[in-house]
Amino acid sequence: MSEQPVPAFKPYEGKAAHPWEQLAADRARCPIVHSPELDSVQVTSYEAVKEIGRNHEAFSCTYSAAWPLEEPVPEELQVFTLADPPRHTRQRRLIVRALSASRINRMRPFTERTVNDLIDGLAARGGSFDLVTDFASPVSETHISELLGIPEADREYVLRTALLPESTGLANTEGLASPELEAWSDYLRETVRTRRAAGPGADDLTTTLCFAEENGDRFAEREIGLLILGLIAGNASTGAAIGNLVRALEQHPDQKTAYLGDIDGLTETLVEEGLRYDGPILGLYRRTLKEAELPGGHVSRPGERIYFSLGAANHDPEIFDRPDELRLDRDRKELPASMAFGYGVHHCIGMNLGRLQAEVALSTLYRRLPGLRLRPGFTPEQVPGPMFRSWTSLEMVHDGPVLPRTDRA
Amino acid sequence: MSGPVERTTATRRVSVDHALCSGTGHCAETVPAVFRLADRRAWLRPDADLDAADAQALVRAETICPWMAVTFERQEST
Repeated sequence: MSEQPVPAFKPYEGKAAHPWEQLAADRARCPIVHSPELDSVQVTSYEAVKEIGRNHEAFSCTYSAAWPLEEPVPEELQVFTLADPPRHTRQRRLIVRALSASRINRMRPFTERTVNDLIDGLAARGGSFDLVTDFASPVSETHISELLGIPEADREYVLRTALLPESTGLANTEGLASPELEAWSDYLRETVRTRRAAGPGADDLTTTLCFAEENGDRFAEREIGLLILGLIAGNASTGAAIGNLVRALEQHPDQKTAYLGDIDGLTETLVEEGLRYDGPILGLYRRTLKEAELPGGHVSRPGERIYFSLGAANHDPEIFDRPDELRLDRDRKELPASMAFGYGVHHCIGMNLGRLQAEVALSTLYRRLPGLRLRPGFTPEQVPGPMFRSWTSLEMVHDGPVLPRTDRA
Repeated sequence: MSGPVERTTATRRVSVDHALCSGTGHCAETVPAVFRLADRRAWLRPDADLDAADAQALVRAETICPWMAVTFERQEST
């Protein structure tokens, strides 16, 4: 018997700011390999990552895509990212219309106003700020609050509680309840009852979910609560994405020069290429339910736990030439889609919302603060763990002019 | 416009609902002879031979579309 290679990727023992070399070493030597650190089969090639997304019959989400659980979550908690078809199909059918590209694009004036307001605030406080806490996080928090129609007075409570690790769905299982989670459950239930009593007239997503109907089918109260939770948690990754995009651009001065020379023409490209280069989701989990073969020859057996890295797939040199460089001149028409939003039926439901925020945030920031750059000497740090790519802080400086708002004629 | 979004033949109907389509490209990759991607939306190729297209692949395109924007119907010939 040949000896199993030990993967180089070590996301817990001090995750590297730049893990691409480790992941490249694993992809080249052992693209599908058991990782003792992750206690999972680690998958790093583009084709195998894509196949895991495509084959949702074999690779289940019900053991959580975020935490490696030993048992599937109870059926009543199998909502959205924790659900497989057909349950997931039914839930997704009730929500796709509210988050589609054409629907989300109607938020653009709100996005432009929000981003310009935040930049006015940054300009008023002088020549330095933290991009993560002073800009990226407020952009994403303002958006999810507006979209869900969270009352102003409740925003801080709702956003803080939804992001507690205990709140992220699975820990809501029996036995892990706490008074705080009980209160949170009550709050969500009360929200649903109040919106349903108020009728379907309001434009917010919570009301839309309360009244969404397909062939007489509606969401249960608990499903709406868990969906709200999932949307808040998912949207937090948009804040991370904006930070990743700024950092990526600042790390590539020639690309930054090109971008500043044609912000209108290159913003869409910058966001797509930036999310390929450093998207906010590094990797997710699945559990194998049915035997299935992955590209590369590995046969996954029922019960196997899989960690598949979207970030590693996006740096696969078989697909992307010079993958560890941000390049705005890639011919995207000729390239397959990046895995930044995943693949298949669980493809990120917040994609359009995330893209809108990222495009307006990046273009407005660099247009209004042309002297913006990372504070010289500042070394950013990554959050630990295998799931997220997110800078904890990005200290920025800017000099030169602050240009006028972009949302007023 | 970058092409049609709905086509019907004697036995088949294929459509892309642009109120839902978000341009992920799953359909164009699954059945490139029928779907193409432009301006962040999927469109039907004007020259697509719907009746000759692989029916199983069209079913897969309908099933895998994350935005549930693709419809493929087969009309029973009576």
